[in-house]
Amino acid sequence: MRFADTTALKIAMIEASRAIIAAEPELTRVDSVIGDGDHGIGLIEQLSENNFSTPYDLFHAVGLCLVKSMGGSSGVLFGTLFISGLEEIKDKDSLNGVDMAAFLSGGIQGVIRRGRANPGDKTMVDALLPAESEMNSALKSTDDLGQVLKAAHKGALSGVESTKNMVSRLGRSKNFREQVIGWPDPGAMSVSILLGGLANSLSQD
Amino acid sequence: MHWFSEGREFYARKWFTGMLKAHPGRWELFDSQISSATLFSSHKVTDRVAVIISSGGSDGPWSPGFVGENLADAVVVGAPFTAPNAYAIYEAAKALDTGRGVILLYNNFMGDYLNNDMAEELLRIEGHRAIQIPVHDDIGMARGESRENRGGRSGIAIMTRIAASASRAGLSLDEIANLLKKANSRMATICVSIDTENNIVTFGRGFSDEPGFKTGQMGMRETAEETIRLLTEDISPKTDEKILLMVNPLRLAGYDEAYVMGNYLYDSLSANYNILRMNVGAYIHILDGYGFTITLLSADSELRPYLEGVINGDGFSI
Repeated sequence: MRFADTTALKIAMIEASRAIIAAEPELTRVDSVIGDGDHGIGLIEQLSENNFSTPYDLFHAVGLCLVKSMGGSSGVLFGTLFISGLEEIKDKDSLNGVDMAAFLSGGIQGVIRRGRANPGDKTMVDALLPAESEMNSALKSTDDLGQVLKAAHKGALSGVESTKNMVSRLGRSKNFREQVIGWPDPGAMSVSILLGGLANSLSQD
Repeated sequence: MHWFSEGREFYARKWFTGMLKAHPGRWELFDSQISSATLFSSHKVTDRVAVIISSGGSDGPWSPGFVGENLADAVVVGAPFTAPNAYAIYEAAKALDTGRGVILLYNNFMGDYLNNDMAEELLRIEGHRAIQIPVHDDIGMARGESRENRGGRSGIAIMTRIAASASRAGLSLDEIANLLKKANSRMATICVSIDTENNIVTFGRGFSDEPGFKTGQMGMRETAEETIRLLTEDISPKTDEKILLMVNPLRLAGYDEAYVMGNYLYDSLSANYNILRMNVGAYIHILDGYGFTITLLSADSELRPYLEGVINGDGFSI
């Protein structure tokens, strides 16, 4: 799909939420406290029950829903991913790969600024930065929305893999230090599942 | 905080409901959809900057006791020992903004920062002006790092009062934020905890019970002198400033002991500096144990108008 309107983006967000719900057993195995599945359900309800006139309205609602229902630092940081790039898609009726990359980059930079995490701290940033970099490489040869999201997903997956060898310096899991070596970071995993869900839905023609 | 905290998520709502029953008409419980609680003052914000404070959901009087006439306009708290929710702060600010803007005041801890910072952005993109002020007065934390990395302690009691007085004086959002930033840079707090059996005094014990940075066997006079030395070393009071001294007992220290300690602190401080006044009371009654948190604010002529007179909150005056 070269570009998507609000309806297609909404369907993609619902599919990405379903992917998060489906991954809950795996996420729970990594971090028994997280329980992201519930938030996926909240998000699907919120999306299904409302109509959105623009991609801006859709993603604004997604961000608010995450902040409201997840709580804690995860809710704020996942919310930030959808809120901090909104300015980039103001007044657009549909998004192509270039628009989506600008939107996600704004969100990623927002997460880094707000979360004060550095690469290598074993956080969602370790999936977000490689996602951003793969996305930017893809933009050199295409503006196709599906292709750009696939590239972002690929970057995020390699980021998740890299977190397995990292020691946490921030957040709750820092208390476990070495015990987390060998396990991927659950925040990074959620990011890759989310991008994978969006890429899947938006690369079908 | 163990036996009481049954139904953790709704603890603050039960707490605030008890406050409403004790003081009918003083506050209103805001109907938030978030599993934390929000309390509004019954005194409406009219054509002035709104002041919203937020914190974890336990202890007091700071934060909910600081909502009311001539104090903060609303408080948002999380579950016990959990940061307030960004959405709850955002919806309270939307409800209170008269167009003059909103001050978001909180103690500088990671969760409180994340949620207030998020709320500030959510408000901005909808056209509301909000400025967050993270208070970082605790000299026991992040020693050797910049002041901005320190946590907040009891100094936020004074900051709330300054924000509230400046708002009622009609100052703009930017003017109030600048005043608060100045106060933040001229304020220092230290926790002085005491092992009363062995007369061992520890300086700088952290908010979450991190160990202190200095320990010694000493009496009250020597403790007071060392406290004043550590605090004035941090803020270096200038000759045109006057100092507000605040003594806040930890849970096990009594009313009498706070005034006895205050007596020594006052004498030690007045030997070299001008005192604006001393406030003694339980403002932020958070750590179990015996001792005090002691705060100095060195106020210049720009800050002093907003510290004039004493304001009564729920069970304290500041």
